[in-house]
Amino acid sequence: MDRRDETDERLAPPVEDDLTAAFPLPRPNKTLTALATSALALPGIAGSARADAPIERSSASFASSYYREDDVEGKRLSTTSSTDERYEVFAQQLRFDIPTSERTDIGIDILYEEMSGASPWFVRNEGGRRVVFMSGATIEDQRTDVKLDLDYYMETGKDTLSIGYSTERDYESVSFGLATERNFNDKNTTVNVALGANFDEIEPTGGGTNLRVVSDHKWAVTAFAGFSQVLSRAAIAQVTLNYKHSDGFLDDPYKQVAFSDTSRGNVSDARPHDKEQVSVLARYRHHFEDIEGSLHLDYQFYADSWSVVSHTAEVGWYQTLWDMFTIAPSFRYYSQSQADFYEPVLNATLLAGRTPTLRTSDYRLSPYGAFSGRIKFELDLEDVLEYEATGWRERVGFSDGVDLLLSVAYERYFSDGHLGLTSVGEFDQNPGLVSFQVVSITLNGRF
Amino acid sequence: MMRSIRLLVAAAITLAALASTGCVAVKPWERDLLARRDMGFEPDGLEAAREAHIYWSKEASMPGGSGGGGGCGCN
Repeated sequence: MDRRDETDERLAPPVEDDLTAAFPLPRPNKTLTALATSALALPGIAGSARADAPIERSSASFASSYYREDDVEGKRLSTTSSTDERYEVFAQQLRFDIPTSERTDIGIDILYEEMSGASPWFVRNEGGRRVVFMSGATIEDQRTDVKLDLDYYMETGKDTLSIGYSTERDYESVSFGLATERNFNDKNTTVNVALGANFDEIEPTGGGTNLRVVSDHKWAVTAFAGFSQVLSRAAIAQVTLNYKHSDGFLDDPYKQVAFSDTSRGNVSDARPHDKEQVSVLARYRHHFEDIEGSLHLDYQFYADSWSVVSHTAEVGWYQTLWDMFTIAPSFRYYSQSQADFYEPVLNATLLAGRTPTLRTSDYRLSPYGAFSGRIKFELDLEDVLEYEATGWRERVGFSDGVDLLLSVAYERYFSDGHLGLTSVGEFDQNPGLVSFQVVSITLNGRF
Repeated sequence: MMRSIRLLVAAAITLAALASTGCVAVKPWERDLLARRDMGFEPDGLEAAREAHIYWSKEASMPGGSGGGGGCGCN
């Protein structure tokens, strides 16, 4: 990041005049770089975490991460389950941002990940406890996800068109998004609106057996409205409203629900065929100049038509040291209530014809709370390589030097029934609740 | 659900009221601090996308600020 250079330019008004002189068409002020990021990347909604000013230099980022879930605790595992191992994921991400004209740029995101392991299949009663039975065979799959954002900038904002495609052995998803962003009040206020849609097809592995469907599909539409306000020279806040309507096959084909009497056969996971989701996310950023540290505060309220209500609170601190190092610890708390049709184990006394038409034993729809902590280290190196950008390099936004940003992060996540805002007793806690850790390394280059 | 929608509407009205006051006017050349990368709502786009996908796959909520992306997230 060219932070110091940009700062110097900003301190010498009138900046806009300088920039305008450099290009034949008026451009939005470069000073808004990194300010009021759009944050519109709901699935299929345009605009990722990018600034609301056109980029002037090409950049490329590569991230490699390893996600691993903890083994299931012995006391929560069925004695007949063949494994206690859970999921692990190796993910590689690539992102390119390329300026294409004075008013346009494109962003390309490519993700490839390899997943393997076992996942909770159903819950049963054993020895006076609820225990989880894991899927027998190790699941192995790969996912490739490609997303393209096209941005068009104008003096008072930008429009973005997004398309995305994700494929794995048993799943395919296509998404589209349109977003617009407008600045008001001398660019102290930013309003974003976005609409998106996605169409998904699922063909479960082992479809037609184990109570799994052979294939099915679903679609969803998303709507987003965001509002950012500069509060002072060192503080900014944003509130976003999100809405999603999903329709179609919303069951999890890899889950079943057992009866308390194990002699009775399991039934498939069965959820409503539609779902409404709403959320409000509020974010606040404050920079403390004297100590070169920035405070991040986030809170999200979420509710859906399956009766799940959740609260997420996150606090982070970014401490800059000697201009080139950043150390950023953050903590996240999450609590959710259960879906109204969540029932880890069905009562054996139910008559065959009285089995609930909607049912799930999925830990993700159970009541619980979660804590996670993350620590990140960044190294910011400017002008590590100098060269002369001519011809095609100049056209795709290369300047005359390379800036590098290297970051390494570690996150630890714990979930438990006791951690929820409404504490859940040991017996009622879903035995499949997940704890995991993630290690990641990211290299970003600006050319 | 209706209660949630009412809450959203109330939040939107509060925000509109806040915006209409126009009480703050930080000039472009005073935005050196706001333009810092560590003042971004999502300073690291790849990390934000990765985290949103993990939380979306493992929790009931949908990510508010940034997307979970495609994929099943079944397991």
